[in-house]
Order: sequence, then structure tokens, then C-alpha cells
Amino acid sequence: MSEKFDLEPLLRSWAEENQLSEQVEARIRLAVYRERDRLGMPSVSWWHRLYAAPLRTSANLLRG
Amino acid sequence: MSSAQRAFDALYERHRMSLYAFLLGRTGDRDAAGDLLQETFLRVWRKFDRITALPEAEQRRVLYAIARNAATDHFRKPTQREVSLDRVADHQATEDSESSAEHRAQLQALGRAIQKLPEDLRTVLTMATVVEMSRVDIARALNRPPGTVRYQLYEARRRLECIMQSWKDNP
Repeated sequence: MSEKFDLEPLLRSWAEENQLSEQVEARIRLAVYRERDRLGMPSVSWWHRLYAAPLRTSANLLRG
Repeated sequence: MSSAQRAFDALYERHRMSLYAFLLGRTGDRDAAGDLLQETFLRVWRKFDRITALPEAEQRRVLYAIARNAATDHFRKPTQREVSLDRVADHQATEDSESSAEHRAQLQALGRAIQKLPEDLRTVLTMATVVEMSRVDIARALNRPPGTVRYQLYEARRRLECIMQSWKDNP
């Protein structure tokens, strides 16, 4: 019977290699913020506020 | 900067790392997880007027649902690449010295083993290891009982140990 495999150190190495790098995160942040600024604040129509919104539940949002 | 933009930025800061780990678990691909993180927050912004009105727990639930749907859409694309959690190890294997070659081989084997885990187990594992989320935080994020998360983490590690033990004994 061979020695038991020690998973944890290897799992830590694997986790380190799969982290979101600062460089990639900065790229994502920039893209998201740019698009956010380009689109502007999502506007809700007066019709939606008055009639549709009260009927909605967060279940609608869960559809993504 | 408007108050909505500030609120959005705060939401991004609070959830970006855990959502990345979640998407890494769902896709098994580091690059895809990054792309989907971006896509998720763009979708969030498009609905932000409604999301921002929700209580925090509900906001979190919606965020994860949006991320899950973005990942589902990603897999529907016909050009979807094969997932490859061991890809980094593949790239670097040729550059490493002989002394670390064994470590690289182990990492590749582990990457393949993680890839074989059921998605639920892989997701809790990446959240617990890649961003070191607590079991309680994972449970909250995934809307699962903490006991389930504890069991899933245990089961993921147990399966990986089995696979890696067998790999070690018969490389």
C-alpha cells in the first residue's frame, strides 16, 4: 500500500494558478465601466413605474 | 458619477471575486469565467434600476441567477471550446525545469480530475479554494443550506483524493 496522497498542497497550487489575475480583472473592470457609461442609467418608463412594476417580482429578474 | 453608478461599483467590488469563482466552477475555464464575469455585470447594469431596489439577499440571488444564465448561454454557442482547467499547466510544462516537471504533471492531473467532478461539487470547490470563501458565504451565495455545502466540499475532496491516489499509484 503506497503512502496516502496529500491533496491540500496541490489543491492550493491549483487554486493559485486559477485566480483572476490583476491584469485580467483590470481589463474586465474597464470594459464593464466603459459599457456602463456608454449605456447610461437604465431608464424606467412612467408606464412601467405606474402599472407594470408593482406586478413584477424578483422572479422576473432571475431569468437573467 | 451618479449615485446609481456608485452603487453599481460597490456591487461589482463586493461580488466580482466570488462570481468569478462561481463561473470558473460552472465553465471549468479561466478565460471563459473572465469573459462571463464581464457579461454578467453588463447584464446587471441593464437591469440595475430594478436590482438596486431589492434587498441585499435578493440582489445576491439575482446576481448569481444572471451569472448562471450567462454561463448557460455560453455553452449554447456552437463555437464553444473544450473546457480546460489544466490548460495553464499544459502551457507551462514545457518551460519548467525538470525538478518541477513532476509537480506540473500532478497539477495537470488534478486539473483533469477537477474537470471530471459534477458541476455542483466543482463550483463549491472553486469558491472555497480559488477565492477562499467560507462555507457560510458559499451557502449564502448559492442559496443552499450550509450543511449541503459542507458535504459537497467533503465529497469533492474525497473524490479528488481517490482519483489522485490512483494516478499516483499508476501514473
